[in-house]
Amino acid sequence: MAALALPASMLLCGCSNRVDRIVGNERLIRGPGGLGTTVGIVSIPSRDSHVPRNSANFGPALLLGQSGSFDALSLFKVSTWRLPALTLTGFTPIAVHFVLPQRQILGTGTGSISADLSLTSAPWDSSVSWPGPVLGASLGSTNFDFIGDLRVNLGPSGFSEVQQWAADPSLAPGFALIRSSTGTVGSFQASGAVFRIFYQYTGPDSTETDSIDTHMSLSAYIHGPMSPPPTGTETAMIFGGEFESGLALRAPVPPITDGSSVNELRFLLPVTGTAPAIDGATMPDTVFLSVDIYRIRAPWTEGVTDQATLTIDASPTSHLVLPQFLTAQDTALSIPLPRVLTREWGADSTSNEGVLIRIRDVTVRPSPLVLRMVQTPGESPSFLIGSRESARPPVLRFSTTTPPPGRF
Amino acid sequence: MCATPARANSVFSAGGLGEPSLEENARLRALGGAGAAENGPSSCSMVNPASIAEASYLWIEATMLSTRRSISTNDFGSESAYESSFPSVRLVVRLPGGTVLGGSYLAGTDGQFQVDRAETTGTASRLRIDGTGGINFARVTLARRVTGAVRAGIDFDIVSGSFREEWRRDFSSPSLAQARDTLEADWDRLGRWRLGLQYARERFALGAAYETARRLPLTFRQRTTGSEVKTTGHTLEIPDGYVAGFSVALGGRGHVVGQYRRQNWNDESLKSDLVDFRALERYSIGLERAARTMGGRFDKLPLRVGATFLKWPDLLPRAGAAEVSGGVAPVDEWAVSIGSGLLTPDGGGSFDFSLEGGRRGNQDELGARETFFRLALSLRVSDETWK
Repeated sequence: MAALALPASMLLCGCSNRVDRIVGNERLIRGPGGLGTTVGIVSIPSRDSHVPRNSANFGPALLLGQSGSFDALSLFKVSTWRLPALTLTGFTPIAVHFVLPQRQILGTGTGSISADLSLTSAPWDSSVSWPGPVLGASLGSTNFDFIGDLRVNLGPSGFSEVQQWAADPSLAPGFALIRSSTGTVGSFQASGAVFRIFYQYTGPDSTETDSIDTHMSLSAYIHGPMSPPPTGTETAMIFGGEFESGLALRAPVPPITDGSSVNELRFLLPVTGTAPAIDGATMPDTVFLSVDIYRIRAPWTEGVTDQATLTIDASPTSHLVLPQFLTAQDTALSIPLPRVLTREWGADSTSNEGVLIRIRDVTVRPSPLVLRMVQTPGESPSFLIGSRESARPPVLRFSTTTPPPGRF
Repeated sequence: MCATPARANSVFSAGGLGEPSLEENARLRALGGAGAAENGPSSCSMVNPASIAEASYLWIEATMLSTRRSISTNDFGSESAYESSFPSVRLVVRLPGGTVLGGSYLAGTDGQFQVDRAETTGTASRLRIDGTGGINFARVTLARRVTGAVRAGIDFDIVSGSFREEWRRDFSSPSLAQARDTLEADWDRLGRWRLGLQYARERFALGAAYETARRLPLTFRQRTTGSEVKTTGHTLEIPDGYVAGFSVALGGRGHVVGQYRRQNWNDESLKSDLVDFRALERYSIGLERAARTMGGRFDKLPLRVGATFLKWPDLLPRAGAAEVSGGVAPVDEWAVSIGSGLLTPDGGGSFDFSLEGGRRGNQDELGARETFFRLALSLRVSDETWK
C-alpha cells in the first residue's frame, strides 16, 4: 500500500512551479452592472484666496527689520532671572548684554540693521499683534552687520536694572527689539536669545571673569499687514513668503454612492511663478515643502486678510512632506487631502468649507556646498499659484470606485 | 521544500454556493461515497447518524484531501494547480448504556476562489479578488442499537460558515490609492435535525437518513474605508433532503454498496439574479474486496473501487450571460475512485486512502471545464489502538 500511496501523494501534493492558483476569471459573473467603476472628476474652486498670517509667530525664527512692505519686530519675555552669586569674593559686574544669535543670512547679507531694545510698558502674550505693545524705557541700541550675534549692551546701569527686575518682575513685563533702519531684514534664533551678565571675582590665584545667561521664557515676532491686502480677485495667489500666506480653497464635491471607495482627493495648484524672499533671495532649483492642511469649519469670503479670521481646527487635518519640487520643470503642486473628507463633504455639502493649506517649512539646497537648509515660510521665497480667476486655476481632483457587486 | 500552499479552488466556486464537498472518510470515498448502510464497530459514515451505533469505546478520525485540478476555459486559457483541505474530522465515544455520542466538523461547500484580471471600465485598474468561506456544519450525533438488526441515530447540525470576498483594485497612477472592499454574506448560526435508521442483517444492510430544512436570515455587508453598507431581509434556506443506500455481501470477501442522496435546493432557497438552484443529487456505487488475514501481500490489503455522479445544486449563468435571466447551465460532475487501507491488528485504528479522478462542467455551456484528481487520506485512532 505504501508503494501506491507514496507516488500518489507525490503526484497530488507535489511542489508546483507552474501555476500557483486557478483564477476564476472565466466564471466571475456579477450581473450587467460590471465589477465596479472608477471615475475621476475635476472641479474648480468656488472660492480661493491667499490669506496672510498676521498673528504673532512663535516659530524657530525671529525676523527683525524692514524690506519693501514688510516690517517686523521681535518680542521677548523673561519669567525667571539668573544672577551671579553676589557673595563671591571681589564680585564686580562688568556688563549686561542682550544676545540674539543669527539664524540665517537672508538674501545677500549686505548692509546692516540698526535696532533698539526697549522695555514694554505692559505684559504681552500670544494674542499680541502688530504694531505690538506700547514701549517703555529704551535699554540700548546696536547696529548689526550680519556677522556673529546681535548684541545690545545695556550700559553701566544694566546690572542694577537686572537686579531690580529679578526682585520685582513686574518692572520688566517684556522686551521689544525694534529696527530703526530700513531696507534689511535679519533672521535670528528664537531659542538662543539671552541676557548675559559678565562679572569678575577674585579667584584662588587671580581675578576670574565669568558670565551667566538668563534665557527668554517667550520669544516671538510680529509683522505689519500685507500691503496691498488680498482682495480675492488676484489672478496669482501668494503661497508662503514673508507674510506666511496660506491658501484658502473651497471646491464642490458631489455626493458619492454608498459603499464607494475614495481613491483620490487632491488639490492641484498650478505654479505660475515664484517671488523672492525678503532681501531678494530667489527660489532655488530644488525645494521640498512641508505643509499643514487645516479644515475650515465656518463660511468665509474671498479677500479675507488674516488667517485668524478663518475658523479652522486647532490642529492640522494632515501634515504632508511633498515630493521634491523642481522649479525649472514642475508646473503644479499636488496636495493630497484626507480622503475621508470626500465622503463627509459629499454627504453634506454645507460641511464643505474647504481647507487652509499652510507651509510649515521649506527645505532648500541653496548651493552645491550646502546640502539642505530648512527655512520657515517667512524666510523663504514664495510660490505664485494661479487662482480661479486666472487661465490656470487650481483644481480639486477626486476619484471614486463604485462598490463591487455582491456575490448573490 | 515545498513553496507556499498552492490554491486550486474550483473555477465554479466564483459564483453560487461553492463546490459541494463529499464529507466521507477515504474508505467511503473509494466506494463512491456510498455510506448510508455502513455499519459495524469499526466503520461509519457521515451521511447516516445511525452508522456509529456500534462504535466501541472511543475513536477520532480525520480526513485530508489533496486535489490537483486542471481547467480549460474559453477566454482565459488553461491552468492547473493543487490544493489541500480537510473535509471532515470526527470524534466518537461510546457512553455507558450503549448510546454512542459523536461530534464532528464537516465542510458543506467550498466557496474559495481567486480572480486576477485587468479592468478597463472607467479608470484602468488591476483587480484581485480573494474569496473564502462556504457552508460548514458543526454536528452532534447520538446513536444506538434499537434491536438486533435496527440502529437509529440523530444529528443536530449547526449551520456555520460565511462567504467572504476581499476585493483589491490597484491603479497604475500613483496618485490613486488602492481600493479595498470586503464583501461578506453571513447568516445566523441555527440548527437542523438529521434522523437516520439502519437495518442490518448478516448478508445485507439498508440505511436511510432524512434531514430537515432550516431557514437562515442572511446579512450582507460591504465595507470599504470609511463606509459600511449592511443589507438584511434575505434568507438562505438549507433544504430538507434524504439519503438511502444499501450494502450487499458478494461471496465471502466482497460486498457492493450503493446510495442515492438528494437535497431539495430550489429557486426559493436563495433569491438571486446570479444563481439559481435545483436539487442536489448524488449517485454512488462501490465495490469492496475485504482483506484476508492469510495469503499474499496484496491479499492482506482491502481493495475498493467506486463511482459517483453529482449534480451540483447551483445553476450558473451560461457562458456569456451576465445573470440567470440570460440562461443557466448546470454543473454535473462524475468521478471514479480506487482505494485501500490498513487496519491495526486490534481493529481499532486504521489508515485509508482513496484516489479519485473526475470531471465537472460543460465548456460549451459554462465556458469552463474542470478535471480533477484527488488523494484522500484518513487516519483513525481508537481506544483499541491504545490498549
